[in-house]
Amino acid sequence: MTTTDTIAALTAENISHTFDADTNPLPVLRDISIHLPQDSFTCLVGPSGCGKSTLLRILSGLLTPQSGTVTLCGEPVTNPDRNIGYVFQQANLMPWRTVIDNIALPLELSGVDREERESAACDLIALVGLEGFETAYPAELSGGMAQRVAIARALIHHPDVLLLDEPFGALDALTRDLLAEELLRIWQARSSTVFMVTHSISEAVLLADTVLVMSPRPGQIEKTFTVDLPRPRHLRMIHYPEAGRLVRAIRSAIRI
Amino acid sequence: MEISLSRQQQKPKQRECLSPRRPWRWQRLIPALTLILFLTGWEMVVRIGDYPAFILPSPLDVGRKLISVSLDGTLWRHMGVTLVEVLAGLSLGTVVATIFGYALSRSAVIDRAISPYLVASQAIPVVAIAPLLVIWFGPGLFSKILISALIVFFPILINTSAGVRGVSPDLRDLMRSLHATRWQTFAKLEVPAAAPVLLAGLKVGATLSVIGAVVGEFAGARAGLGVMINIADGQYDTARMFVGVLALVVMALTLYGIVNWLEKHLLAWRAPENGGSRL
Ligand SMILES: Nc1ncnc2c1ncn2[C@@H]1O[C@H](COP(=O)(O)OP(=O)(O)O)[C@@H](O)[C@H]1O
Ligand SMILES: [Mg+2]
Repeated sequence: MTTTDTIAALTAENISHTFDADTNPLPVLRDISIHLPQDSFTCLVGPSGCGKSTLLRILSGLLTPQSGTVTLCGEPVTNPDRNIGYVFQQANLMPWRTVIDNIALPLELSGVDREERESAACDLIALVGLEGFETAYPAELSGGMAQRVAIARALIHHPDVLLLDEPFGALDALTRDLLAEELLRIWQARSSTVFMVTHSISEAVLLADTVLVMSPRPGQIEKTFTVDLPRPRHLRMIHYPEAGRLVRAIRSAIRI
Repeated sequence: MEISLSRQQQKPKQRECLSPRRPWRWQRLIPALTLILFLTGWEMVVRIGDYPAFILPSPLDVGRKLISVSLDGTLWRHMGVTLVEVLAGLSLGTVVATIFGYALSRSAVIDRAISPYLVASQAIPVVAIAPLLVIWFGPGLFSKILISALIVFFPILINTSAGVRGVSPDLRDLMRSLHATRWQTFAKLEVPAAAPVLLAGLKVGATLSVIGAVVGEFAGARAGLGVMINIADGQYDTARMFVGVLALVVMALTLYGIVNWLEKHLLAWRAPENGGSRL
């Protein structure tokens, strides 16, 4: 899928960031520019500690970079934006809320009445395959189910862009594959722009149109790979020779 | 695709399997047996040692005294006064401590400004300043309420502050990314997240508040269980002192039980593993 001529949903220009600039400066990001085309799926891989989460927090508006700008559909992002959904590495659910109330939280905070937000949450529960667990508490869910809830919660505002920070990092391999495929299905159903950090190269190849490779700290975008596998994608495509070639190329591009 | 198979693997564990097995009926009688054994032992000690009632009254003496002071209304009058002091003291202490605890944990400036003095104030034994408070505020209810509130204050302050500081930073980020207002973050994140620790502090506070009220009554009062115990002491009516102590124990346990019940119902969402203890 070539995407160079489509309009960008989210753009980051010349992002640089240093933590604790005055006392004990730690340069984390250096001059990063990213263009996420409308409805594209982009994955970011890189050694741990290189600044991937920091970049994601900047893109979401949670953190203001020291220099550079983020724009969402042409508007600058300076504060957290409701049109950007964010999925954390840990499911990050409120343990005192049931599944349905966790998913409906964003609507509750923006003042949508109970009936409306519960029907919206029910639609998402169906989308992520959690029917029957509406009134379960997070303590009763497996890791994979909790992460489905987190994805549903991020989608309830119909965000233009969905940011995911190693969403399957804490899951076992089988659940991981299953959820990756579910995410593809959800992405196709909801058509939004997805930007996902992952430490699994094969997962990145399987899911993304574009894979970005980040250098060790201070992080820079070192290489950009375009994935030409056909869509819809399936788990078994990882055995295609071109997928294997791409995985090897990406692996050797990551410096640790 | 393996989707259908994996779904099945993800079926929830049955709730029954998670909750600890109900004990047999006779096992629930064990605490009662302990009590009967204890009372029998006590009665025997008194009979064999032939102690006079003003040194060690037998359980039967205490029982008889309990009936007589309940029938003539003495017990209820004193218990009522102490109960009012305890409830008012606990409420006052809790309200002030949670406000301070919250302010400390949310503002570094307030924390710096008052934390050292709060810690230092804990070195002052409440027992020692109780007479002073009675001189200042008189022998009425108010000085007792104040003493009870003072003794409750610190543990609840510490727990509130620890609870609010313990709120997950990721959940704070989530609330921020959802444009939650200050009030929404307080009501929908900080309060429920801090509730377990806060309720643990309230449990400690519930029993401490009874101690505070009695300490105040010993320092000077006209009525209350502390006063009843004091008067009985002067009259060598040891059985009546036992009744007073018993009433205090019942009061503290009831308060503790209420907080425990609250905890169980408010925190029903917690994983069942956390709920196994009998304390
Ligand atoms: N709030 C912060 N203050 C100071 N240093 C931070 C902060 N957040 C992250 N860092 C540091 O920045 C570096 C990059 O962190 P992060 O973006 O989480 O990396 P990654 O997600 O790629 O593993 C790490 O060395 C981390 O210790
Ligand atoms: Mg990270």
